[in-house]
Amino acid sequence: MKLYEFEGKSLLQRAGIPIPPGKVVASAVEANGLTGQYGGVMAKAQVLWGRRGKANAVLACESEEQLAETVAALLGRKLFGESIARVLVEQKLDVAEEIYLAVTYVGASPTMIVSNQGGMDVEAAAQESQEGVWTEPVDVIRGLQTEQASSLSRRAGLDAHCPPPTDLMVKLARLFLDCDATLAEINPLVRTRSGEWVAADAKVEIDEDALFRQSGLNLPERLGSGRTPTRLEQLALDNDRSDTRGAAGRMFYELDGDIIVLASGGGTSVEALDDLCILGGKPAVFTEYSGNPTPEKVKGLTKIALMHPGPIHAIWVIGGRANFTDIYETLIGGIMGGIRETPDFDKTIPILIRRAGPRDEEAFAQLNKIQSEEGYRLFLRGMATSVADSARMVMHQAKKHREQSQAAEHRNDP
Amino acid sequence: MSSLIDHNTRVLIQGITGKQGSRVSMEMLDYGTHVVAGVTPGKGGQDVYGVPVYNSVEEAIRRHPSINTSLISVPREGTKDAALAAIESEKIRLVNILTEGLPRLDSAIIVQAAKQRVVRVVGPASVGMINPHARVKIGAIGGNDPGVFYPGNIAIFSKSGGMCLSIASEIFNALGHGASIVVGIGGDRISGTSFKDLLELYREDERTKLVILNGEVGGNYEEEAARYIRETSYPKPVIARITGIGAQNIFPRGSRMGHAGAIIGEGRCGTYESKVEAFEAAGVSVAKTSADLVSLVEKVLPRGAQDLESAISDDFELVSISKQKLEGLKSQVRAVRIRTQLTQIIDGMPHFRGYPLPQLMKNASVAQMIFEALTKEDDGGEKAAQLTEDLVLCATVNPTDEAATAAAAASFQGGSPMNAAISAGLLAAAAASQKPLPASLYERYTPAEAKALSLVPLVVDLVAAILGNETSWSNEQSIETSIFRALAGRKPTEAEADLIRAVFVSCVDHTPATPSSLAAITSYSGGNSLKTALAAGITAMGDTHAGAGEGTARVLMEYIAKMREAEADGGVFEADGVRITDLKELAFYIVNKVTGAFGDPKSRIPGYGHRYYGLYGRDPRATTLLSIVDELGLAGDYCTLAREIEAVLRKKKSSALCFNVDGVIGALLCDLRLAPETGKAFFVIPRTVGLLGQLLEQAPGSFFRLQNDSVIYIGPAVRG
Repeated sequence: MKLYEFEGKSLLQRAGIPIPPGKVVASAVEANGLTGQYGGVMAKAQVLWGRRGKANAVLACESEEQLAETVAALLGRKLFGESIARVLVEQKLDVAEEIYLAVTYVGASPTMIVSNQGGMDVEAAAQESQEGVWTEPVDVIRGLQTEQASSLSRRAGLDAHCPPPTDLMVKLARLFLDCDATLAEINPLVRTRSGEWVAADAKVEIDEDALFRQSGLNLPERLGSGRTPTRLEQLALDNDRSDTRGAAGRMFYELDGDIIVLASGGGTSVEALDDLCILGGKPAVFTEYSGNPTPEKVKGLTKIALMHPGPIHAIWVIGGRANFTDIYETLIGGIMGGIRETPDFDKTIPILIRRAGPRDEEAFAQLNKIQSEEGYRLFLRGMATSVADSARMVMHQAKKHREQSQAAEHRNDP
Repeated sequence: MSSLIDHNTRVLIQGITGKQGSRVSMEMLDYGTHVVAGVTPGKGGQDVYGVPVYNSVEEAIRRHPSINTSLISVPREGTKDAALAAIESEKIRLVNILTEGLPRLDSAIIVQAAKQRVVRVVGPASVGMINPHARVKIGAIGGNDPGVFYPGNIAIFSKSGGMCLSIASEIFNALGHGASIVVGIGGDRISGTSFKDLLELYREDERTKLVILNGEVGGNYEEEAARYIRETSYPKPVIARITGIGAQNIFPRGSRMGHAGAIIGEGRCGTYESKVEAFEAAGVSVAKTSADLVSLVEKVLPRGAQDLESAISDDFELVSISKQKLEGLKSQVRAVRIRTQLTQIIDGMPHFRGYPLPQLMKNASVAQMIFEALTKEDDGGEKAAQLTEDLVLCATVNPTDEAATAAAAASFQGGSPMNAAISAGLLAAAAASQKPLPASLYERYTPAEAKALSLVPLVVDLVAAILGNETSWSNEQSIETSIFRALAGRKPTEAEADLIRAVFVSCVDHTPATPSSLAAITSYSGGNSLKTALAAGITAMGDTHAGAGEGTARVLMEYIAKMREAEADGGVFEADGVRITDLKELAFYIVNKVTGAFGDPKSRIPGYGHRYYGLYGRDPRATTLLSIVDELGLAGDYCTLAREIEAVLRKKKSSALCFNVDGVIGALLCDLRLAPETGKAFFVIPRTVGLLGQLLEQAPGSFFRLQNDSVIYIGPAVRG
């Protein structure tokens, strides 16, 4: 989970790493009086992705009016797909030197990286042994030792000035381990003319798999992309939380295609999406359910997916052979339940199901019965049909449906 | 080590009582994996599908020192500690972590500890691994139908667990190729074992002729593998497949797919393009879809390129095995399952408590064998020495009831076969009043073990009574001499004592798959005493199981007697118009007489051929026993004739008609000048120990029966 700069900085502060004094504002009014308080300030748009400097989203302000104008201009602006909801206003630093400092995983080992180069790309720094980049492994239990920090400072030439940021390095490594971070980056770490080391920026990512034990961080939920969830995406998240058994809607993308994809199983989901994309198919919704969720939860998810404004030309239920998930419950009560309860569902939409696992024969028999009694267009396949072949069938059926509905529209159009 | 897992793999399951853990245990046991023990703190003393559960890894290993692999199926909160316990055990060399959603820091801690202790970790979030040649699987791979992984020459390494199965089955269905090994490394950013590690491990693997890497966007294991292939000129063809291009193109960056490692990131690193580029630079073809993959595989291994024999055999050369026969054997094994800690037969070689039987036949004492069979403890040295005293104590404090010896002798004189007479004696002993066992025994044995131990001298005494011999337990130096005295009525020479020792070792156990074991276990599960169950087992022996030695002895004696008779009269043995002057000619004549030109081609000479070892062309127990007989200088005309017969059978009929261990015993007892009917007794005494060992392994109260669907009704339809 990516943290906003202001969230990252509050973690740094708690860990004892100096940050510039500042305030997070959500309106121009809240910024009143800050230049008076801090002198010259930086107004920094709070978004999760991208180089804000280049996008003119980090701006220096000298006066009250300039700050008010800048904050007003930034708020609501869309940056890298995210609309700016907050601006961090903080004291401008008196910079003598800027370095790059970060902890991240290199392979299976947390590693501290120091560079005297600006504009670093951390992934590149971690991968390649570049000039001007120094690294030191961080022990997963004991953290970074003071001697290691001293040696790193010496190698990077940071001990030329007194004092080198060794204490800060040890603290950053500790923060990284204690918060289950996957990245703790200070870029730049500034040495002020008064000889202090201050974190001018903070980019922290917390391991999503460790959030269960990091509730103390009090981080509000967000999409990884920083994008605000759409209404359907939010409904799907709420649906997933309706009970704890299995997952249904934790991953939900509302897109602009015309095929609803209800996938199961990590690897098979990825493969299915590949096969569909290679054939030029476009999902309207792509979502996953797994871990034997209750039929109610799958039904809820199906209903939410079908709220997509469309037009929808196919529904693709794709998965491999389940080990635990009850195929009868999830397909009959779940997916067909959701379809049946969707008002005005267009029964000409082809529904392609490729699935196997516990109670699959029973499920397919029931689906055949539903098809003949209620007139849905179901295409049922098991493991003998590959994911790629199933994708081809979806494309074919979606194309037919598209053409038929266009022809029908044409007829209705006088 | 040629493979991550093989028939030496002994598995501990951590989290065995959980929903997933117990399910996976059942699947692994059903497939044939040796699941030795389980751990769930606080649930020690329970069992899961017959697998004992302990409170800690340390305790499980103390009780089962053979454990060398652990599967971790515990909630993610406890996974790190569980894995560290396994890694620090010093016995476990391979840790497979099934748990999903493990915090990355925990993975890093596990990997660091594993590196320090040189333990291999596969996972987390690993679906497991399967070696279809050895029929061993760890983890959830293949679910309850891992039979869809066929043996073959392709190694499949995959981040996605589900795709292990789909790739293997698509290739098998399209091209008929099976797999040498399939490993799910897990889709997390940190995997204990990377693609590169596996490439390294299987670099020289003879069975693997092609490697498939199924990668995914995110992380850099694919790039690392590509670099390794390029820089070390990897000797085997490699085909890669990378999934996630759809996700990368359609989803907003920062999105996370089902796998934690598959995060659509910024920058070049870990993208679909960077992986394809790396592989192409290494000369590795990259498949876009499963259909692409199949056609790329076909270029390296065309349809039919897999050689069937290499697909089936494991360590030993197969002489004449057909696929149908193998399938037949497998289906027999699938019908009923019994767990044992005693004997494992690996490709035609019996291993007792892990040791190849021929090795034990050369030097293990009878006391050691009894000790291991009954107690399942590995320390056979000092304690085994004590066992001889304990056995003598049983026999002297609690001598065999006279009613029992009388019943056995009467049964035999009344015309019952040796085994039935022994059973009659046992049943009479079961009915007789019982004196308590010496209290000192309970210091060293559980009550059940002590009771089983006391039955060994009882059976020896019954044999002695049947043959009209005497035993004198308190005066004998070893159990070997007591047994010999019971069989022969005299003290053995040193060589004879050693021979009886080797015979004992060779016959002590041959898995619970045999008719006598099934009968004993069934009887025991019905609620009978050890004595009664043992009697049931011994009763189930007969002319075709355990009785061949007697038959062999009769045949050899009959013909040698005829030849000697003719020679004594100063002439030459002539029969059916053939002149027979030496043992070689006699052997040729016997084969023709019994099974060939002069007899019924379908009839067989007892002591030759074996239901299982016939497939391998030799019974290792027989060959070892014969070489020991030679070394001891105990082989006479009978052994020589028996060998000649085998040579003729091999040449004229089939290598499957190899000399079996019963046959060797039959020939031996002739050379020892013993009566043919002692043949079965030679076998019953040691096998008593094996049967008792097997009975003690049965979980108390377990009910042994077939599933109803194993019974096929073929009578009239429902009437009336």
